Amino acid sequence: MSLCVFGSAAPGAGDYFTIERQKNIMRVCIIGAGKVGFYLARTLLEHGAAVTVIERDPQLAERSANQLDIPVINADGTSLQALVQADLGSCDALVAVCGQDENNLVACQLAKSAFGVRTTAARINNPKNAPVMEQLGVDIVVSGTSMLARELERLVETDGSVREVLSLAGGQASLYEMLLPEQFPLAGQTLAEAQLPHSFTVVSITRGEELIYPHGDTRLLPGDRMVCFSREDVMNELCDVWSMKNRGGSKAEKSSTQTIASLLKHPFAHEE
Amino acid sequence: MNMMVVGCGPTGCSLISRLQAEGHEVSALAETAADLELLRTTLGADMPGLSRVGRAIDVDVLRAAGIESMNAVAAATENDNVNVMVCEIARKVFGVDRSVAVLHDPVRRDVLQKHLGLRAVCSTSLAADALAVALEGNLSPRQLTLGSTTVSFVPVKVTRKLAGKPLAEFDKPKGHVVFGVQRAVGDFIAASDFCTLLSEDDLIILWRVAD
Repeated sequence: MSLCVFGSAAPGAGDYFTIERQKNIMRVCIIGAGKVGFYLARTLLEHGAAVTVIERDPQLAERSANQLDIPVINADGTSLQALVQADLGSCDALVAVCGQDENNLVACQLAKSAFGVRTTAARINNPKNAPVMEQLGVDIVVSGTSMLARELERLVETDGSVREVLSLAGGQASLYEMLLPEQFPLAGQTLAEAQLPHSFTVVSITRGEELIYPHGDTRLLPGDRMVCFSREDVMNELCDVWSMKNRGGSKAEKSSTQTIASLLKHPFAHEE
Repeated sequence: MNMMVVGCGPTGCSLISRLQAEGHEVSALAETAADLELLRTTLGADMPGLSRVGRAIDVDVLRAAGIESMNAVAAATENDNVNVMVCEIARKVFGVDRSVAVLHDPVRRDVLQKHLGLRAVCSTSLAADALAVALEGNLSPRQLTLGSTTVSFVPVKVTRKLAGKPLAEFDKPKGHVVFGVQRAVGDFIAASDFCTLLSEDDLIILWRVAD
């Protein structure tokens, strides 16, 4: 199989990689230059990462090379030759966002086992594959379908629902948004009176149009939209006690291009 | 044993028919209704009791095809990556002891075998090996699979020129090892003694790693 490289950096791909490595910046290889891959590449470039893309379709490969001005390898992203040419061994992360779950899995597994890439991320098309991919060693699993479902769920949100907004510290704690129900047991109490658990902090309360910065004397009322920071197990217990429904979703299942970008940045935070 | 074959193309079909002939309980998972129909036409009355149509990398489909009670799973679809994923799911999600994938790409096979411990058979290498043997004009070879490696035994006729000379003088082709000599009279002599005198119509049996 012959591999062709598009992009202005193509002839001197070696130099390009050397320069980028000296700067000690994040290097990411993206498999698949469809909509997700293309916008992810653009987002990561905006964040200052060095991005290499592998795409099987010549037209998509050319589009990315021309519009993003980065090296794009026109090849099957699960073939060893293409991954070697992308210099995957020097990449900090591999993100596989093809349309086929099996291709994304194999790319991630090759990256991890044969090239020692630290972080692998895969997009899944069938949400059922989320736990499977995690079990097979993919670090970050992203489902477009689940993301859409969660957004739609939010539209038809009812009283007493709890939603995970952001997961922090590897899932130890999360930022939640909750809509206090009509029958909220602590209704009318102030935060001081409510004696909320230690690992549960109220961040903000929105009452109608008004944004409230919570203090000890702030009262909790039904219909309040409360943003809180809590440990997951504490949140689950409170949901039981308050008879609210946690719609958190799978822990490792994240959504959107932006999320992949921010998740990828995370592993490097310790280093710099 | 309970065995599952995923993918009912030509490879899957002949594997199923062979496993059934050897007395195994086989569950067939076809990716398309047309594949299942092919299996039905090929096997006729010997159609496996459990056969399903569905997406091979769907855990629910695999479960419905009985993967949880299988001793072994073979993934033989047309798509290498689907086969890898099926075997990985069988091994790591369902804890199936033995799984093997058919891969068309020999490079991918080598890498995944080395780094992931995936058991795989490379259809391309096996076909190339059989073709090379046929082109070289040797008699038909026999294959033996040891672990995940297939070894070919290739018989070569002793020429008139070589008759009466010791086995040591036989100039073996590169990559081959002499296994022994099948005498024209019927007995077999292992290759431990290279002083064995060859006669015309003896067969020198060579072996080599085919895949």
